[in-house]
Amino acid sequence: MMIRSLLRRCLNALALLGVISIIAFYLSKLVPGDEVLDYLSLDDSKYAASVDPLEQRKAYARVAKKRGLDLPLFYLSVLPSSYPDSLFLILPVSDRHTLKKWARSTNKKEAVMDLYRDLQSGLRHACPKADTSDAANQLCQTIRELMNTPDLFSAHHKILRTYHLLSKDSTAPSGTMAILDKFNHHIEQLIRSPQKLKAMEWLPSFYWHGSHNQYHQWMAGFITFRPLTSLIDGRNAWSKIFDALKWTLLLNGLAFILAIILGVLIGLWSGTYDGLKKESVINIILFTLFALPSFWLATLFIYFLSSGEWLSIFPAGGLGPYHGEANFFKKWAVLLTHLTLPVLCLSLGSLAYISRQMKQSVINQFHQPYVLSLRTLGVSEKTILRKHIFKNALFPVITMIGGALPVLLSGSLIIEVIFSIPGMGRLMYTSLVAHDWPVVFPILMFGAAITVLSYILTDIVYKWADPRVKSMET
Amino acid sequence: MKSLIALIRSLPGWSSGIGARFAWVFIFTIAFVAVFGPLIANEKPYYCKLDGHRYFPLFTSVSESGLSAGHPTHSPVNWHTTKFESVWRTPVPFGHQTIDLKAGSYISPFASQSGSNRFRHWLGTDALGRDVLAGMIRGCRVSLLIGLGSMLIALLIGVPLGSAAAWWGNKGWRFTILQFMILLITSAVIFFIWFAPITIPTKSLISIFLVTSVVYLLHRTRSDARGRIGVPIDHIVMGWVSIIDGFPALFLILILVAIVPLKGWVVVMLTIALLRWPSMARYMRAEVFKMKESNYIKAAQILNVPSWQILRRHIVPYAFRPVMISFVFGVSSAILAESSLSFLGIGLPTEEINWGRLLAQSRNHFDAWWLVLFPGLAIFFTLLSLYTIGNAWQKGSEK
Repeated sequence: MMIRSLLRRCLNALALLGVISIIAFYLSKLVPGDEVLDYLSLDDSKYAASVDPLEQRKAYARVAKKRGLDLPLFYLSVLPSSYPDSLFLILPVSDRHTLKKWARSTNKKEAVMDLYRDLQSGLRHACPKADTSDAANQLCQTIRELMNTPDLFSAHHKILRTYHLLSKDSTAPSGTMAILDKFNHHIEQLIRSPQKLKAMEWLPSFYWHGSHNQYHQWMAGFITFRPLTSLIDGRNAWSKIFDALKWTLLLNGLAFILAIILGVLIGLWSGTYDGLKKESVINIILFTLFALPSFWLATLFIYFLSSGEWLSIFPAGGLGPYHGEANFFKKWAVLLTHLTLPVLCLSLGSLAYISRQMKQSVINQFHQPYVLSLRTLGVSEKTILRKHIFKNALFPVITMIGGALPVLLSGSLIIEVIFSIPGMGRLMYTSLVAHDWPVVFPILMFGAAITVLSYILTDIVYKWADPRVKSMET
Repeated sequence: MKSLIALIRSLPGWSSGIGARFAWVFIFTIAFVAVFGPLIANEKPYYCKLDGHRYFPLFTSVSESGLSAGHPTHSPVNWHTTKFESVWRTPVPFGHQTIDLKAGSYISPFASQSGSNRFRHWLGTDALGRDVLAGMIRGCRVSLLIGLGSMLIALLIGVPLGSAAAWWGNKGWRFTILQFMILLITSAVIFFIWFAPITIPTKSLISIFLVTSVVYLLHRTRSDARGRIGVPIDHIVMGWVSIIDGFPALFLILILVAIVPLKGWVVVMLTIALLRWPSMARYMRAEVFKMKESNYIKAAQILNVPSWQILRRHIVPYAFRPVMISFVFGVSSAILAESSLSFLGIGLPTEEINWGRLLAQSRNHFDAWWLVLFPGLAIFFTLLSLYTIGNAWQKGSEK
């Protein structure tokens, strides 16, 4: 029974991770900007700035193919029937948007595709001659403009204007006017005579791509640990993540251990001496600590303890020259002096929270009947506290710790920014701002997996520690 | 007056001690400043008299250039330097965006400042020479608006979903096969309409019409217990809750700020609401689970009171107090989130000034202790007040 419920939980968790990955994937695709262009500037920087549109398109297509961005997004695409069939294969992405707009405003997909093919062949015809002939250059420019004009009427207007300009130019290479004539013919066909839709064209068309899609490739690469390249500096994304994870684990782990040990001890103490004067003083201090915003505390620390305005006993930020120290102990001494302030900032708030929970839990335990019976048996207060109450009171705190596990790994951006520590929070932030998806997605999926896992783990610990706990599913 | 005193006495936690009273007074002060901020800190005077003409610049659209055009002898008119015949100024004669070029940037509150005491920057100036006090007054508005607004949205989403999840569970809400077919067909029709070659407003209108008519139809032919097919409401709601929990908050905030075409503070508010409603829903779910087992609810069920009515009359009102306590704590965490985001420079437009932004400026200029101290104290005391109120309320309800 236990194993079956565990198995079901794991399957649920997997499904959850799948949904999260799909949502994250689509959200990333909604962000304005063309991913291929980002890669283009990384891989072929000379083509990104190239003026020759044909060369640029070729480089674009090459990079898109290399990075798998020429594939459709998902296993299944649903398109209105009025859209061209192979819309999701058209590159660059800006052309795709233009074609979509044309098709939507006219409902004539064949004519739209004809126009697009003519534009492409016009580009191939005119652009190589752009250096030698003014007219070809003009035509090349016009075609590039047309490919970014979603409104057909203004596109028509542009064609007519170019036609007018070039008809006076006697040096224009042969065929130029014929190309423009063709464009004009197609676009007039598109603008005039709205087409009656057939009954079937009201229904959307479905396209099944199989595993040949971006999401599948991305997930497969992610699961098989395929090397991913960061867009910012071209480094391996995995090594970037592990570097950052190291620091976050050290920083947050220290803060976590400090908060738990101190929090549990203080909670135990104030639960035992609840109502005494010195206890209420400690209580008020903890309450204030809880309300203290950690970023303000960090700024105050830096101002008072390390900026030199008042005192300068702690280094202001970074990790220090720990690489230079040969001795193991000296290395850690340098590191720890740099980590003291951030660890304090991170732990003080959670310390207050944990100790409050622990105190409440200890007080609850004191009201339990078993304490009374132990007292009547003559067991000393010390033994009751140490052997019985401590163990039982720790139980709700354990579940809380389980819930805090994801935070341990995700890093705390604000503290890392203030103390300039290269942890996960900062890595995630810089990567997100730069749309560096190869770094963002592994962190995201990793964090989601830890969150989901911590739920299962907390549940198991809960059941193991208290067998009376009923499964919520029943 | 008597009823006002009675109202104040009935504030949650008021009778529990001096701390909670201070907290309420502080919160009301912040709220007052937030509402009347532009009347307290503004470079325009309430009233001024020039060449025998009376003007009320703060309440009308009289501008400096307008006055300059009307009174060429005084041109150019400046609210601060022009000699008016008589003038009533606001307590803080600077707006949050007024740049005092004469005083300059990073002026300490204790530094000797040019000009009379009336135009003194009591809390100093920031990096651009804007008055810190005016910025703090503006910050009250931003913080309170985002804190309260986001939690209200979270409450409106979380409470209905959480109580529905607990009340109906996975089997409580049932459809007959016919109703289920209707639902299925409607969703299919809406799906197809969405891909049909018609304009988006038409699509939306048809979809809304279809949804409302189907909801009405299902409501009329409702049968809670007789149906065959149970709707797994609990699974659906808790599934969404876990999905949102699985996302890193930073990812959602940065992506939504990039793709939602709304004003910065609206997006920040909506994102915080999106991140907070799961905890409200979870809280409400636990509350309703507890209440479902109580005898008075069972009695109501035996008496055949409809589910809607039990929920509306007997469950949600009784869960009000614990939910409001977690609402208070939620507002404080939303304010903390907003000021952290402003501190990092995420979300709000760059020209906007608030507590987090003021605090962030001190990082470029370590001498500026006033930029560390005052905004930080404002955030700290707001959070402390909210915690105190929530705590006092919680203790009061446990008794």
